[in-house]
Amino acid sequence: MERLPLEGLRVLDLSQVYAGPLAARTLADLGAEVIRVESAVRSTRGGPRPQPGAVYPQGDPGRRPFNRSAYYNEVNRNKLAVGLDLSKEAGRDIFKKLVAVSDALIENFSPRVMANFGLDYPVLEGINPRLVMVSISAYGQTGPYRGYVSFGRGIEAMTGLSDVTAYEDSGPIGPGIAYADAVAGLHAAFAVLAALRERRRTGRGRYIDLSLRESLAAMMGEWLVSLSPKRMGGCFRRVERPPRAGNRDATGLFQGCYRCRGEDDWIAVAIQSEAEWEAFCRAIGDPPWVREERFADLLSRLRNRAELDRLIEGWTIRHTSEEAMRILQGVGVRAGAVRSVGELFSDRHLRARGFFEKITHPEAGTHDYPGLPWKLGLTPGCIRAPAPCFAEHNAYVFGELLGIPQDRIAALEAEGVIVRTPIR
Amino acid sequence: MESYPLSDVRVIELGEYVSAPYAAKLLADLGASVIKVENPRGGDEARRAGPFIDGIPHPEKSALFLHLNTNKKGITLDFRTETGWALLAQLISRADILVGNLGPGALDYLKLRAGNPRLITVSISCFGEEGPYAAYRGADIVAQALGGVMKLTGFPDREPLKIAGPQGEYLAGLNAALVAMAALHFRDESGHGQHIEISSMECMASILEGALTGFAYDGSQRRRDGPRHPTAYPSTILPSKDGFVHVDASGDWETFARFMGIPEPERFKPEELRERADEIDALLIPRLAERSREEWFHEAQAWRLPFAMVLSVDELPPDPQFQARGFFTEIAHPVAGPLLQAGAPFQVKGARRPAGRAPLLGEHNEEVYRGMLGYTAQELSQLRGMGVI
Repeated sequence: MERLPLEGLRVLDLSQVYAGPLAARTLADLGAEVIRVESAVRSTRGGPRPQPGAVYPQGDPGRRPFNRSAYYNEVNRNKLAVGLDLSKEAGRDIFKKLVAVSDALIENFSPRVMANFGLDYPVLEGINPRLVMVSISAYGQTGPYRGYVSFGRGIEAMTGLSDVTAYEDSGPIGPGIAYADAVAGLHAAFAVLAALRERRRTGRGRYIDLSLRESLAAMMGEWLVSLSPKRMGGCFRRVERPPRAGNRDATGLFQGCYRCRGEDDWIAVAIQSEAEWEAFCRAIGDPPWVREERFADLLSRLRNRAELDRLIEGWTIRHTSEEAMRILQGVGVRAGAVRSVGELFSDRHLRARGFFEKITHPEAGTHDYPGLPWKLGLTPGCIRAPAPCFAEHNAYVFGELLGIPQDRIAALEAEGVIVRTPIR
Repeated sequence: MESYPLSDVRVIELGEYVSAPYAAKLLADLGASVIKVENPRGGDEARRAGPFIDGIPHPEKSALFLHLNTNKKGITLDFRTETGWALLAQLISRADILVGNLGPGALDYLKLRAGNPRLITVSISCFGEEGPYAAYRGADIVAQALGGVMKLTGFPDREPLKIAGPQGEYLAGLNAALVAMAALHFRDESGHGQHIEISSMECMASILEGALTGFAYDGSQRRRDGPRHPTAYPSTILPSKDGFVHVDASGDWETFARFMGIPEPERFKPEELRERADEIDALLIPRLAERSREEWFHEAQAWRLPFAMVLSVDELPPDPQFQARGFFTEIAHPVAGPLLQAGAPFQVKGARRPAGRAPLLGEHNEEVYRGMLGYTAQELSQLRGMGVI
């Protein structure tokens, strides 16, 4: 069998929606055994009725839509799943047995939920002092907003990212994906691995308090550090907000996104050095305007950017984004076609690198899924298993791993402690 | 000596701009000892990129550099010279992780690993080391374009937008740090180091929020639609009395409508909410104009509705939540003056390394070349004279 970097580690995934599941998936992709502990009600995969906005194979939710959601199946591959009701004491007892044999726990309930269950870190640490636990929340486990809720998009607003992800002349927009969730999930996976490294030396676990807002702010630090002089004298002075710069937010280079010949067809171009500007001019056939004084250097080009954008688009509009990319990259100009989701599937680079993997899910069928975004030379890894069906691994986890006798499992099922199908 | 989670991890960074420096910063801020190698001809290009502390370009005042290089030691080294390469090999012989983003072909990782099979090398680039675009030239906007995120961002009738800031770079650095930690775990278990490559285009394409699998399942193409959520509604940004507010029903239209005072909410069936967004916005806008964004934020939260204020970056430092959690710290810098330093992406209870400022160009040459590698002052000045350091 092929070796994987995190083989031998066991992670419990109590999380919902995107950030937490992505954190756990990252560890699963790297070889950890990840067990999703799911409840019969309000599971992120939905209940017996189709979820509004969810995407199902061929548009058909099927008899068990909770096993067929595209979103769920993308962020939960390589994991196992059990059905367990933590609101019942017997359910919590079983959970504690799982904690005793696990290395890490990822949860993203609102703060206080785990404490209300009697499953907060001080309790779990008593059961397993080697446990690394990460609590992912919108604003953190402390402070005046600790009880406040948010999805990624709200956090992008509260961090200033929506304000600047906007056109020069528009209101705030924000990323078209739940970027804050993704960033939080990846930071959480990193935090778990760092704490596990420390455990090697100390023999003890750690508790990690990860706020979506702080993990996103860490990736916007240059703007925050640049506010430094405004902090002088012990008080913050209100300063003008950073301008909305559209696609031109990078300093020291001229960049933009230009319309191409196809429908909703665009190319992004970044020109960094004078040599790249010269190459760009040659690539577009050296029209007379490229020699004009107003475009002579970077500062002039930035000053006259509206005019220059219009002239550049006069060239790009005659080509598809694919042609324009080949022409420009052919002479060393940084350019990339703006890919749609569908175009990503046929992108020759991603295909050649094996980015997509064909996987059969027992209830959703056979599809191409986006794979692992890293290439590890010695331990490459792959999608080893599709996302689990609800409660698919009850027998392995409760029977084999915890050694609960068959008749006891049946009794726990009758009591609704161990569950086999979601209720709603 | 204080002990932090990664105190016994030794890292060499051959990084420029954002991605590799962010990966090494994540490790350094948790206690790893990171030596950042900069070229002697001006150093890391982030030193020349803004924003700058007082708006005037200066290599020690780039906020980008100051943010990305906390808690590192900085040395200068031209490893393209024979002597420089030998010095690099000496540094690497005692390292656990080497992270670089100097472009495909800039560094012979195989040769570097030859002397230290336990070494983990991480190479970050826009496209990776193999494949049809491997020789293409990358940029943050190029990774965001080819990675699929731009097509989903912005207004449908205007050009696609990148996420503000070098997010393709940050994201690749974050992925690099976590995979390096996984490889370190494997190394500690098996004794084997390995080489890892990270492409920012692929990192971006990996976080499209289920959109790729959605397309694979039923051919549906998600499209950009300004601040509106692609499937759930209401989830958008609208003006309030004094600024913008993110309104969000969190899938509970009934509670949302009651909170916002929308009459006869049953006119809108749950499955129609998204397609009737214009109508809903028209009902919300006059109502939202009655109160400030701060009032809406707190009042909605009392109803467990995930509203948010659209803040601008300069409003973050005084924010009561950031203040209460001590997210920002102030540190001294000999050239740039007192700095407001953004905090860690997560809090490890009991393991906070105090923010140490970014190094000046070549600041730790003496400490590293003399203290660690044992060169004499005379040898050091020779190396300086040869332009090696």
